[in-house]
Amino acid sequence: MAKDDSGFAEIEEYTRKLTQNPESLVFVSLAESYRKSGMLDEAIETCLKGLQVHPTYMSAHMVLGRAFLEKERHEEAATEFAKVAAADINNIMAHSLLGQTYMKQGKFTNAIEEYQKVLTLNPDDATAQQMLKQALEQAKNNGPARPEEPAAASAPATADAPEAKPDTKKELSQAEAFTKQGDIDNAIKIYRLILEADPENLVVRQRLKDLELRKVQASTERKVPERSKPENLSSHRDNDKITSDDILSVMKDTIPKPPEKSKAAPKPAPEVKPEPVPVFKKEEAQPAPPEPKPAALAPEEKPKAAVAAVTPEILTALTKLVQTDGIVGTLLIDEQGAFLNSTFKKELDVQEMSKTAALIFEKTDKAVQAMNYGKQVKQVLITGEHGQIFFNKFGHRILLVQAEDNINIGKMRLAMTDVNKVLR
Amino acid sequence: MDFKPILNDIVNTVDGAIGAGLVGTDGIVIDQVSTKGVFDISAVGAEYATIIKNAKKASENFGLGKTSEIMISTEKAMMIMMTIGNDYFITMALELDGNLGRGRLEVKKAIPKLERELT
Repeated sequence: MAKDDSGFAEIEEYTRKLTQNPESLVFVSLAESYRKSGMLDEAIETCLKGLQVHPTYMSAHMVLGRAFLEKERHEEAATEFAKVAAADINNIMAHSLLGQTYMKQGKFTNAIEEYQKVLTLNPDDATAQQMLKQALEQAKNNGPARPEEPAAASAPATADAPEAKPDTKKELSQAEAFTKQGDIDNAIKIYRLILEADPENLVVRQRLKDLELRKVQASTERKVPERSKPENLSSHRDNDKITSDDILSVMKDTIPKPPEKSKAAPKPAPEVKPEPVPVFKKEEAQPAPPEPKPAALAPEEKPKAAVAAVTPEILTALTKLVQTDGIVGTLLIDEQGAFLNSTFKKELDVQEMSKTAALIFEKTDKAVQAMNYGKQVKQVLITGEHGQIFFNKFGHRILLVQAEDNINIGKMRLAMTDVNKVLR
Repeated sequence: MDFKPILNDIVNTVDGAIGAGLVGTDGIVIDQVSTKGVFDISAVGAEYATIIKNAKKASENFGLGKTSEIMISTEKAMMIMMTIGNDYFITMALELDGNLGRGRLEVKKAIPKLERELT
């Protein structure tokens, strides 16, 4: 098989996709294809560009680190791997590559530390065993180690980190002041800036999470017309985290145009209150009230009010889930492929994604049934080079969770506890 | 080439393993072993191929790159599938209370051995 040809075909394909949607995460696949084809400068450039939009996307940091490593830009490689290792201490690959980088830099003590971490996570890793042995020998031969940096996994060696500290205090008090004044948007913005400079600042991370949660809770209590803040949304594009405004905006976009209709829309479901978020496909006309139904349903199918409704509880749980490190986004659909909610970037074609996801799940379900492994598929986890997607069936709904490759299935399940409760 | 010893190693070391098999991505079953009679993938290779094809499609649509692993759970069993190069994959079925973590590890460990045999 012509490996090079397939590499270039991949590059073309990913470039096309990225051109169609410049904010898509496909930049990582493109960068990886460049790297594999030996086009390291292009790989680095693609990653750096993509990371401006998705600064906390760990897969991108991994690819960038690898490209730097291959370019023998060791310091920059170590910085990238350290970021990933700091974000997920169980990421074997990050520790291993960090160890490799330190070896090349002659920082054997640091390398030893990293390989020990790898072996704690996977004692059978033969390569790490061998590398640890080598690092130990080298460290011995070199005598007392020259001053090495503290292991970067616990303190990423970003060039600008030390400078960021003095400013952080000022920014922190600014953010606190905004919080006190109730200006949550500005407080969130500042916390994000601090986190960009100092991703390990757990206190700030926690405050940011609390504020984002507070914001989404406040928003869900408000009425729909009060929600539009276009200038805010555009400024959020610089951040990787999906905000409640983004989520609400996606949902709002999908609610049928005439607002009066959506007021009249919900069936008298007992628990669904002020903010019914039954989401309908906007491109198709709604049937006359009082019984609108999701457009993706086939005509003969009954509308399922319980399926269509995304209650504030679900919304809160999804927002919380997507704030978990390593979770890229979620897509909630019904089994017919009707879009219910998304916490992905709003630029994505969620309607199309919903249909595709439902189709994939349905085909997998049918295949499994034919194999006699059960009557119904409950979960499907697909792992790729740059991440994973996790389909979960809840009655008539399917929740798709996309995660980076640095989050393991155990963590993902743990993060999904609340969502499981509300969706069940 | 006899793949049975490798597959047997997997099912014998994993609690709750029902069976394991080596299949081509075109659905042609190369070898399989089972601890219980219920596991016979020879007749359902095409279904496996469908699952793999769908997973690849999903990976592509969601920007995941090359698919490396698929896990499926139903009310009755769990399945692990891991790709071996572009043309093959290894699959393993487990009972619901089977040791999934161990299962994944053993399947992962078997891949280099199978790769060597396949090339």
